[in-house]
Amino acid sequence: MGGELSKKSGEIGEDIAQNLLAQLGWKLTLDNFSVACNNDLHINKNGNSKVSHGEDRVYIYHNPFHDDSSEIVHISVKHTLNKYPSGATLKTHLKEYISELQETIDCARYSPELKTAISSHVLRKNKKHSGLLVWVSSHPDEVNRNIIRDLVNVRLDCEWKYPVYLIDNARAHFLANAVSGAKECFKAEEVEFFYPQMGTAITATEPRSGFFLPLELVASDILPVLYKDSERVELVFYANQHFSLDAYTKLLTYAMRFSYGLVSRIRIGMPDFNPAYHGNDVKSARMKFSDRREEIVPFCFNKTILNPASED
Amino acid sequence: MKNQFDLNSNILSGAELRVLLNSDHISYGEVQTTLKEKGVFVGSIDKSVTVPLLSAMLLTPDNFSRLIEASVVRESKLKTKISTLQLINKDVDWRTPLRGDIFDDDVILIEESENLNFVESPDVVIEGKSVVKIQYVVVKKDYSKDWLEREIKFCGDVCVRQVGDSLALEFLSHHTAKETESINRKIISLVSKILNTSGATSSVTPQGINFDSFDNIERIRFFKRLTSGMPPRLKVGNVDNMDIVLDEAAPELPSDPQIAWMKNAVKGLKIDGERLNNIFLIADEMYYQYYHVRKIDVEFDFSLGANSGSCGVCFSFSAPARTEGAYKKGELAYSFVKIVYDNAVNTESKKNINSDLEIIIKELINKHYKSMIDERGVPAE
Repeated sequence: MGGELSKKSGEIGEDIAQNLLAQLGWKLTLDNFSVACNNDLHINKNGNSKVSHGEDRVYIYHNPFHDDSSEIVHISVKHTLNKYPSGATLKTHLKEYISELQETIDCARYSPELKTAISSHVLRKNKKHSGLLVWVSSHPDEVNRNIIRDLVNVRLDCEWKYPVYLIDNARAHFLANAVSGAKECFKAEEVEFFYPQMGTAITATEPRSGFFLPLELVASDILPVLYKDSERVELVFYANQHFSLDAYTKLLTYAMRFSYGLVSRIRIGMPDFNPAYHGNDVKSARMKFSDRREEIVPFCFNKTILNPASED
Repeated sequence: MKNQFDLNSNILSGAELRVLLNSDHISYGEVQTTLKEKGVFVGSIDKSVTVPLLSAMLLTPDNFSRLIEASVVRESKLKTKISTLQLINKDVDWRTPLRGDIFDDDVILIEESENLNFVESPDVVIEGKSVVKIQYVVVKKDYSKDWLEREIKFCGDVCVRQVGDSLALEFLSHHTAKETESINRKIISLVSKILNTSGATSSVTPQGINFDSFDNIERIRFFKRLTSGMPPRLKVGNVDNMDIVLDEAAPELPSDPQIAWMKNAVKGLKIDGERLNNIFLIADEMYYQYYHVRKIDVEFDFSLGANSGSCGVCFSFSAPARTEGAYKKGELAYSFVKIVYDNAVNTESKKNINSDLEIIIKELINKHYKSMIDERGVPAE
């Protein structure tokens, strides 16, 4: 890729990532700063010690799933104008990107630059560093490409200390689709995400909802949204999961468990729900919760003319 | 019964998921693989690192099913048995006698098992003209176990099917545990009696494939033939596991060094490997008379329309009791140890593929059993 094209690709990737992260409520990120390398083991391609590491973005939040924890997320953005590579090359690229992020985090966590940059945040006692790799392709054939399923067999380096969460085109598409669907449905400018009781948190101090999506829910492929107004409270689950009776029943189980009977309506969104074909399955699943009074509304979050039972 | 946890129709999250992930049911590798499925990559496989990460996420129903299939269900794989009854003529109405409350007294079916109760009593469902299904669910309580195992549900079913236009009425029974295996046996016996009393069948005892349906030579030959698959849908398979037991009633082992080492040294032998078809115990018929093969695992590649992959099938003789000599009454059962799909498939497609594979394995067994019986009348060349 020529220098001009490469620069352009980088800029497009940055724009895509910025828009996506804004949708997830990750608005106040620290952008594009350099961290001096403080580890002699970090060597560049020429065999020389590295001088610095470039941080694309850093986002910090209090983790609602672990007590007294702040999450410092180091974001790396990779963009290609071409198709994603395939087979072994895809895995090689992933390993390269993760190794790069590991080194960046490893130096950043001891870096005065980061310490200064985040000094305005009141961090909690436990600080956890994680990586988020936003790896997207702008190729028209790859709009909804899922590379995560091609990477399940990748052999991981046991030296990688920091977990790295991957957003590929398919995940980005799902997240953006769900958030914009929720905004449209509730005619809201911001989406309030619901944080289920999970992880290691045992205290009751954490809020159970907020306006940013934690990493754990980014990777869940199930996006819980809360809607409150003066008349009602609703819980919406967007699930990146094909419809089947079994899958729908399990999603309903989540919704019933998390809502504690405190919401009046639960909506379950799936990408291929079709009332013409799935109506009886919906009734059958509902019968398993016959003692519960909530109104349950299944819907398809990929808009088509076949889905009159939309989110409205 | 409300506090009972059913892993098949439920899904775990939070603290309950953490208990499951930390349990011995789930291996270190399975937690890491599930994290990778969710696009989370971390070098350590230590559960102290991986479990807090995974238990702070919501698993999709597909994630959860795969995790359970790979672990908890591993211990209760569905096993299938086949047996047949002969109808007196192909047009006889064998379904009507099965109407009515034939399982009113379902306690008889579980009276020998302690702490066992029906969650769903056996129900007769008539599917068209040729299939009757009897399904049920039992729960076994064991308060000495942790919550994961304290109350375990076992499903079982017996499918009665008239094969095409033939006189054969086939019983295809599925069980997971010894308890459901025993219930299936009683259901088949009861149904057979009802059909015989109504005059639909000529015999009261269904014919199955038992350990003592063969002599030692035939039995190993039969197992060996099962590895030939059903090309092109099921390709030739490789034996990767087998249980061998020396037959104490067989003639004394020859002094042949190839096998003499087993004399006075080996009673039972479990062999784990790959391509075991080629080892002398299977490849060379001259040794067949000295031992029993009671179980083999065969790995087949399959190709079903657009779907392909591989499946591990366990063929074994399941004894009705653990008493001395009970193995001779063992009935042939088969189960899928694992099924790997080349491409990603959703839960529904998976069910269809698994059902097609089950039918192919049934055809494979029937074909070779029939050929073994047919050969009995033919003098050896």
